Amino acid sequence: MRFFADKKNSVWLGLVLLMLAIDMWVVVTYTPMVPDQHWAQKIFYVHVPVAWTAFLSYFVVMVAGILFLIKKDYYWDRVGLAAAELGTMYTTLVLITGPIWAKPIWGKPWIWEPRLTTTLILFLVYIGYFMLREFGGHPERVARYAAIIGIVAFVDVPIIFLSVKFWSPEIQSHPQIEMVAQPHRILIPFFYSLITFTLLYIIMLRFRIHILKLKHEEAENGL
Amino acid sequence: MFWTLLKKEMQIELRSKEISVSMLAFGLTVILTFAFAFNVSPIIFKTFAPGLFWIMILFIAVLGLHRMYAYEKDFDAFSLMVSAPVDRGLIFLAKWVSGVVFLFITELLIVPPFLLFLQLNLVLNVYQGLLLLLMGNLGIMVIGSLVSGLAMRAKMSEVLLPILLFPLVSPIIIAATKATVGLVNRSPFWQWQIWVLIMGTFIVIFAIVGYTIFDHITEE
Amino acid sequence: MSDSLLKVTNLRKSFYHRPILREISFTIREGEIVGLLGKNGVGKSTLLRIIAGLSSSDGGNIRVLGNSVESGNIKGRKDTLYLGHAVGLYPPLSAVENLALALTLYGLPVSEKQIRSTLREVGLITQQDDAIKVYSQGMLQRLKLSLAFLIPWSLLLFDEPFSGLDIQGRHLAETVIKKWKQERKTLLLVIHDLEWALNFCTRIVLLAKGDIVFDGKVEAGENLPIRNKYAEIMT
Repeated sequence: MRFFADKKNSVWLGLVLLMLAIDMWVVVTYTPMVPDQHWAQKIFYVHVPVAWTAFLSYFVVMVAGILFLIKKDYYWDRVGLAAAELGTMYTTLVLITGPIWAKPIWGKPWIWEPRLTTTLILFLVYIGYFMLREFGGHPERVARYAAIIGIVAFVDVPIIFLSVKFWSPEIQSHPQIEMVAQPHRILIPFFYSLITFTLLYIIMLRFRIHILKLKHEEAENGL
Repeated sequence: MFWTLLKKEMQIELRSKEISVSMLAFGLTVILTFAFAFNVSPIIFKTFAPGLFWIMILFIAVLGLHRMYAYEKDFDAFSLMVSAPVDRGLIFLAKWVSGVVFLFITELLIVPPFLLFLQLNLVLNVYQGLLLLLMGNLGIMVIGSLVSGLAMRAKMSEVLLPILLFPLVSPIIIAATKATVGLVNRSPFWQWQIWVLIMGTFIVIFAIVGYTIFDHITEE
Repeated sequence: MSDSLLKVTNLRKSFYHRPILREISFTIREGEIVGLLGKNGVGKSTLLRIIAGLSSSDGGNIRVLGNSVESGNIKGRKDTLYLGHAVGLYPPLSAVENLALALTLYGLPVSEKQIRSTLREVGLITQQDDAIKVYSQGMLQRLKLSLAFLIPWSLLLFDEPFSGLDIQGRHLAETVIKKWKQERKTLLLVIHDLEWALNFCTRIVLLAKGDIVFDGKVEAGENLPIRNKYAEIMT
């Protein structure tokens, strides 16, 4: 059964795409220019929601991993794999949008900022994760090992973050830390963007789980 | 039972010496390569020697981890241990502790040539140095024995082990390097105790994770 | 049933998403010697490894003397002994050291006297202190057999008892299986030779395409139903 043949899913997708279009329009036309940063700052309405989604996705990988190990239900393996794929895609976007902002502001595209560094390290772990999935042999065995890597990777996140933070204390954090102090014209579009990207993520995740299920069934039937 | 498993690791290593000899020989060749590659004045070299030292240890550890699980596969000896009524978390703890011991012994033998050949004239606080080595080893090996236990059963394990291990262990490499810089510069302990604390946190968390999760790694 | 020693319910296992065991259920009672036969790759060895707790299943339930075989449950492994294709011992250690280790792993006291007398029984006494990496294939298989003498078990899972054995070794294994049969011990064997299985086993289970296609007692006489079914699945 096709995913978008279900009317609910198509309506959801249409709604989210509409929200996304409004989001982009608002970001470009409505939000004020921040002094010293000009247009560069606008990428934050994308960069931060994308980063949030990436970490949310890797969190989903961990939760799905735990549930898969306990319940042995391949549904959770598919959730984990789908979330890992999306998480890595979003992580790639973070690693692209980060330097786009950093170049005009810091003068160089890469700085060992804790959040960005943690993202990079996670990205590398997940390269290993997909290599394990792809080259590791029996998918049933590898599914369990991938679940374990997903759990270990997310448990590692706070420690990586802390160690990088202490490692380069001279690097300032992103300005969004003082987000609450920002005027409404920044704050409201920012949270709207956050919600839009989260909803987009949810529909993408569900679509990917659906595809993986079809692939799984196809393999089962020996096609 | 933990002591039985640890004794087994020690007994096998005493008999075959595979792990320690490979780690030591590899370490010496790495030192040689470093000496050729970083042909700079000792004063400059001193600034990045701590980092190089931990890179070397990480490489050595990967080699050792590989051997530690390889002999389990030779005659499928792992199946005896896994099918026996043994708490499999203890298998993990025994692998971890024995790995730390092997790495520690190798380091004791490799630190003098490292200082000698790379012409590092350092006066170090021996106790702090040993503490650092121990913490670094515990950290590298705790996640190392977990990941290599898992890579052992997968194909392409020799590739997967370092690719999965290096990013996961990065907090330990950062912390150990920073702490070693403190040690080399003879800074007071309180200035770099935060790094020892970070390593301690890492070790405790992954010891618990490893002990809990290893059951799922031992099964095919 | 009170005398069921092994109870397998709805056991499932897939490789590369293809089911090789689909919803397998069977029970083994005390005193049965069950021969498991089927084509190569039908999942006989996998089934044995799952029962031994070495391999994980994709679903279903296994109980040995009431204890569930699942990860995290040590009790589920205490009454079975698994002998696989390989010897399952450490190459750098001697036969005596390996057997001592095996005894400790099963929580048993180590008696060197007992180990040596067992090694004499299987004909390895002269090489008992050599590292087993120098052993020949036949010697390793004898050493494997000695595990079953030393470690007490309620259910022996034995994958191809005769692979790699020479004539004397085979004779030794046959004698001991006969003895176990008289003592009403319980065994689950993966076998390749139907004639042999009809001779030694009390019950035959045939596995084909992920299912048990035949399960019945060995009778005195021709056992035609077994032979017919066996011929059918092997072609």
